[in-house]
Amino acid sequence: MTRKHKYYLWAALLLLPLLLALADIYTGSVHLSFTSVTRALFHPAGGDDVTVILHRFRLPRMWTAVLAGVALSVSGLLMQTTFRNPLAGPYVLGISAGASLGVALLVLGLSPLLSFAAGSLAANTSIMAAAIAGATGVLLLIMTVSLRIRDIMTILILGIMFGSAVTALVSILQYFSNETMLKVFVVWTMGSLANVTGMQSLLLTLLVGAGVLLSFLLIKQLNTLLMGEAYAHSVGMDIRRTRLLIFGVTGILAGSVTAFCGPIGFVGIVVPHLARLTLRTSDLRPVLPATLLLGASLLLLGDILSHLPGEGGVLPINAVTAVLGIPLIIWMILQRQKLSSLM
Amino acid sequence: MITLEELKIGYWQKRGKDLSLTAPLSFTATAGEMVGIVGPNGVGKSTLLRTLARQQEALGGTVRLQGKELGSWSRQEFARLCSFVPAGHLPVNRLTVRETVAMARYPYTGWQGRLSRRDEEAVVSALEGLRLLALKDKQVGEISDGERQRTLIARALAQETPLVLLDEPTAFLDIPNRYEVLQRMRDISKQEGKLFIFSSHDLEFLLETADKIWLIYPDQAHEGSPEDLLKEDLFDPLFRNTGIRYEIGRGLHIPRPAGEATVTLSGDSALLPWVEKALARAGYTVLRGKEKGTGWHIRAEKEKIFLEDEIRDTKTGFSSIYSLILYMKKHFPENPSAS
Repeated sequence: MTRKHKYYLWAALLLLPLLLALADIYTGSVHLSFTSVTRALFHPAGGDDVTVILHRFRLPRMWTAVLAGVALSVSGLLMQTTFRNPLAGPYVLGISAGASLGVALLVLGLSPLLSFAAGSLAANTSIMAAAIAGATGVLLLIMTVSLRIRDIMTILILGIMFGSAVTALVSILQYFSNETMLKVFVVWTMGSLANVTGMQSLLLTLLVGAGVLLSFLLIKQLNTLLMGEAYAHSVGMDIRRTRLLIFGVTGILAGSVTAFCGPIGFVGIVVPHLARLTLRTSDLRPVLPATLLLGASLLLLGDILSHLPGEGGVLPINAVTAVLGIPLIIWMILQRQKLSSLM
Repeated sequence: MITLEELKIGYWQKRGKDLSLTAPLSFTATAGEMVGIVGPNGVGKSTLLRTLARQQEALGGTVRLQGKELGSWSRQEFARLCSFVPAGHLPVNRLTVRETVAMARYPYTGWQGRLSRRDEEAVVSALEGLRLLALKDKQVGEISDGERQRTLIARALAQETPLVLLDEPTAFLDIPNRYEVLQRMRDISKQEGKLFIFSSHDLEFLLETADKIWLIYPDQAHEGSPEDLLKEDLFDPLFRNTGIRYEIGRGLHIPRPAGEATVTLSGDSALLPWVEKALARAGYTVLRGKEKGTGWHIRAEKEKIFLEDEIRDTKTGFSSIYSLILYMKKHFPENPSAS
């Protein structure tokens, strides 16, 4: 790639999320005219319906899509690099399974004791708290295990096994719960970008910001891990400390997004590959910022697509990302013949 | 520079029991040397290298590196003293040769990993030393096995350590590449006074290039120059009574069972030793000189080989050794290989 090529490439990578963000706020399940949205965008004080829809719903949702896209893609990149596995994603450590268990325990297990209306603010907040507790619990367990186990592949297998075991527990809880609560839980597992507003949005911004900043500080270590742990050790890297830091950052990024938006699949696996394919390198110095920009773009696109039914309702974001992500993965496999050459 | 005293290597087992692979090892090596580790498969050559590289713990004994105990160097100090090239392939990634070699500057760079001019110089000189400058912008997945192995050695050199440990640096390489890699290492060790300690299965190359051999068997260990060990026949257990031995001036000698049929061979052509070798492999006992009564006589003259059959009184000419052997197998039913 020439210098000029690179310049255009990065300009495109920067413009893409901006354009998609604009497209995202100009479209939605309710049809609003272009001029009214533009007016409302620059006059937030106006009390009409358009201003309310824009500032209470569309802007926060757009921002949540950006944050979730960034967090899932960056944590996916961290996991693929650490495990040197092209199919690793933000959830290989069992973080989403942990969050599901937290939510399942709350919604399905404790619901007879508590009584809250599905969709209310109290319900949303307690679901988020439960998800954070579950994700943190699993993360702490995996970190403890990783201190004792040397081989990174063993940790990967344990993470997957642990996730499956937790998912099985969730199934048992589902089996014994009543229909209303089951629906609340199933809707949570479908993911939603619409429930993060106000203070929650600020909190999510802080968490994702911190996670991304820490990822950038870990670039030197992550790059060294591309060579394998034996090499990383031979140049003086503290493998255990680095691993703990990477797991911690992944926990913050993937855990917070899962807590606030539910599990959102495929974005975290696909986007790092897209970034590497576009830049034709594994060097994290360009790949990390590109992953961040492409991650925001992909989830913004997912959000736009999820509103395609218009007044008919909103498609669950988790289904949309799967529909978007799976063809991308298949395309990359067919293009490169073998997935391992994608790393 | 490095001293091993009663070093026990291996793996810990449950309840504090250890599984030592070898007898305790007491070896030394000094700067500027090429030290080859030799031993049968599974004796712990890799384990020894991994122990010296601090990738795994010793079970007992001590190792002194530049006078200080191995474990007492800090992580950062050790990374500037000792570099390590593990066995096996590099994990797949999309880094270029130059980027891979630059990874070695980890102990010298700041948190961003940005290379200073000093770092760039070290990378370029390592690339130059292993003739990789022309390939520096190629991805490591696109180059040949030999080039990739040279890249990994260049990476170790760019770390600028007085001690370089390499596990099977010539595995996966063809003969010219094996020779070249070892020769490069030897040049660098002499020019820069580096100590290379490496394991290899290539006994012939090793005996030609190593200054010192650490020879390890499960129950005993020896060190010395290749010749010291050769004259005591210390390599023989490696071949486990197969009869293979290393002969001075001839390299590895592979014995062949005596053939059942006998042929005589004469002539003044340079082809003679080659014909003899081929006949021996095909299962004939070869006698030099022309003796009557054996039945078959082979004569090599310049580019041609003639087979004289005394019984049938024929004489046939051949232009290649292969066609001669083929003809003999076909026309002599008493051919030992066919029975």
